[in-house]
Amino acid sequence: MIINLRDFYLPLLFISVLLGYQVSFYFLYQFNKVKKEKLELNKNLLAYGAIFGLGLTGYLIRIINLYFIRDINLELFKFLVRITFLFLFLSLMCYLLLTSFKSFKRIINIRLNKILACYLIIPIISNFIFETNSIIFMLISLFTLVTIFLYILILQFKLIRSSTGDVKRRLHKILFGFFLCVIQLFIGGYMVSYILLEEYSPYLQLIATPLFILGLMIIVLGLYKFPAFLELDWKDNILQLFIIDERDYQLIYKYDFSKIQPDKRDLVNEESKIEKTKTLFSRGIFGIDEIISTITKTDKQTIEKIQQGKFLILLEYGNVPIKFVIFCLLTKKDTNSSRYILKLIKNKFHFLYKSILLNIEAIGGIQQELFISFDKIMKELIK
Amino acid sequence: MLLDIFPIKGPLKEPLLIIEWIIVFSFFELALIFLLRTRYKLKELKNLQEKAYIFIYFGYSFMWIFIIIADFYLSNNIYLRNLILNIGFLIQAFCALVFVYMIEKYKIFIRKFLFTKIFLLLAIIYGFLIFFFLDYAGRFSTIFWIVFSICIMLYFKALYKDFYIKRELGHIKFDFIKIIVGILITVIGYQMSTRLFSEMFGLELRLIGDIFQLIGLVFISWFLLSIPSFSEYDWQEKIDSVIIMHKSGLYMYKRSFRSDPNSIDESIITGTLTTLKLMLEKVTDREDILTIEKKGKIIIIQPGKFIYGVIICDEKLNSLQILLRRFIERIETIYYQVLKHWNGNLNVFKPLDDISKEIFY
Repeated sequence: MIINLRDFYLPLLFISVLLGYQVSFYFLYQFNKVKKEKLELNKNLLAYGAIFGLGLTGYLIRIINLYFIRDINLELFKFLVRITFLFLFLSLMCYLLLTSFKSFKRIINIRLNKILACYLIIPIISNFIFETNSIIFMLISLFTLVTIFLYILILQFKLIRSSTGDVKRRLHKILFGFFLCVIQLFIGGYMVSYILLEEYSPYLQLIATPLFILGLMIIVLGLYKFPAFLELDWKDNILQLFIIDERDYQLIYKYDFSKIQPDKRDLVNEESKIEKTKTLFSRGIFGIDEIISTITKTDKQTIEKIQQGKFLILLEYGNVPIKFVIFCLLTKKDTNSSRYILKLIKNKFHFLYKSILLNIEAIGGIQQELFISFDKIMKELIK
Repeated sequence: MLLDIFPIKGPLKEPLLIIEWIIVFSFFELALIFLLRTRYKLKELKNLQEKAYIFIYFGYSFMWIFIIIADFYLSNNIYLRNLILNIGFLIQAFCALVFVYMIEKYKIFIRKFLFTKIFLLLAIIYGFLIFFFLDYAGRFSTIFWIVFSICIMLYFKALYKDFYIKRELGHIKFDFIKIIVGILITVIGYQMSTRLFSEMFGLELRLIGDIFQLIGLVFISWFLLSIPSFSEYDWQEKIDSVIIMHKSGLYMYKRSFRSDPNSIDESIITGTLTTLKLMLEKVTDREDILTIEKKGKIIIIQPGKFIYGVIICDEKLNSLQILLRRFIERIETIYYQVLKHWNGNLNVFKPLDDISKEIFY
């Protein structure tokens, strides 16, 4: 058996690049999938995509530079080391900027995010002023990397703590995978592996690269079919759901979200005037629709939102063949998450009760008993 | 004249090593993707066929690991290199055997399990050759690929006939161009990277062959990820009827897929089956799927929480069981409250016809 460690770690390094790019594209794909819903926290996926995409480009340049250029052209090698660091710092800057949006306010101090993003200009400039193996640059970049990565880990940890259900479980996996990737960066990175401990570099690569691949694979597991990332307070905002049959103005289903959050009971009681009489509410919606259509001469358009004081009613209309069904969500705020949830409810209801609604006359007087089963689906949806 | 190039050295060694490890990883990754897909789609019919692809991808990936070890990492020991290579081919042959078996479970090509039997026989002979006549084993492994190619061609032909023509699915030409190009490029690529060709024409050809395989992989995966499964349609010719009955023995719903002028009253069937089911549950002390087989006909009884689903069919197919389970789950979700205190009113189940048409399309 011929033992040359380079033959072992070099393929691994390229495999990790390939996998890393796939992970980056997958993050961007997942973000793009729910982009039209305008759910801002999904920018976390975009941020991950950017950090991997840009970071991996730097990593690829580093591999080619270290293993194929260093021995041939030293000047080019030095220049490419600077480019590697540039990509690394840019990836961090992108991440911080993409997580500086308003919806992240509940988790982190977004001003600090922006300050740290601006601070990254210092190591970027020093990268081109100092030699990359000088002690000053090493101290600056080491301090920067440790600080920013710790900050990102804390940010992600806080995000996990604020999330629930499936998103939480998956974020756990992604964070763990990301943590392994960060370890790789320090063990197998330029400073440790090629300046401080160069003689052990092959061994360090043999440890670090499989760790990196493992980390990326764990991320893929967490990311596979990632659900939409709703605003953190979306559960606090939604109050009640009403599903109305236009044909006879009957309220066919009602769900009270205070069932899952008892502290909302007072708020719900406050608007109980609306729901006191079911028929009044359902007829009222159509009445409003007709009046508004007549006044504005917009027969074909449908109302999407009704606001009364601090409450809002978001409306969604059924698809063919159950266009006669209206889904009303009583909320405190008009958020994209509430709209997204309403659409999800509509799709589930459509899937399950389409046949029932089309044969409702044949069923007789047990409609309520059938629709009450939707409670189970609602509970799962909210989880 | 054959070149003495093993173990591989020189300037092409590293590019070859990197690309060949990427081939290993890419096929392994595809196997994992299919594994994940089947895990997430437990109740999907396509699942049954996709499990077969996992084996073929894993097999190809493992075979390449052994080829790389033999060609790059071993010193000039011909016997050891041959042994390692043949172990790799044997693993791939075994995985191909599982693939063929899983496909033949859903589709009969010429005769039932014909290719599985041929593969099994070849595998036994191949194993014997590895142990006793190693020099001939490598050449013998080629027979596997000939048989496998015939099987794959029949598989695609059946796919073409069963789905694309019968179901009038669109994009037929484009789909088949994908797979034909994919297989052609992979086979040519693989041949270019074999030891014989490398020894005859040098390592440059092997490098081109490796790149061809990666391109071929993209086309094949593209096709396999988009094609329908046999199990999505194979049940349609095998099913007689679906019956839903309450656990009390009362008849709830029936849908016939074939016209039968001598059909028996549904209430008699459900009453008898419920009695039988209850009796067996008492004896075995557990509630499980009950299958009654009589020459030419099979009755599958699947219990739910409140109801039993019954399928009368010609063949016991996994796809039918999956569909029945799906039907029962849908009914119990919608009718949960009704079924708890059902008073025998059959009118409430009129919408079941639409739901059954949706599931047993």
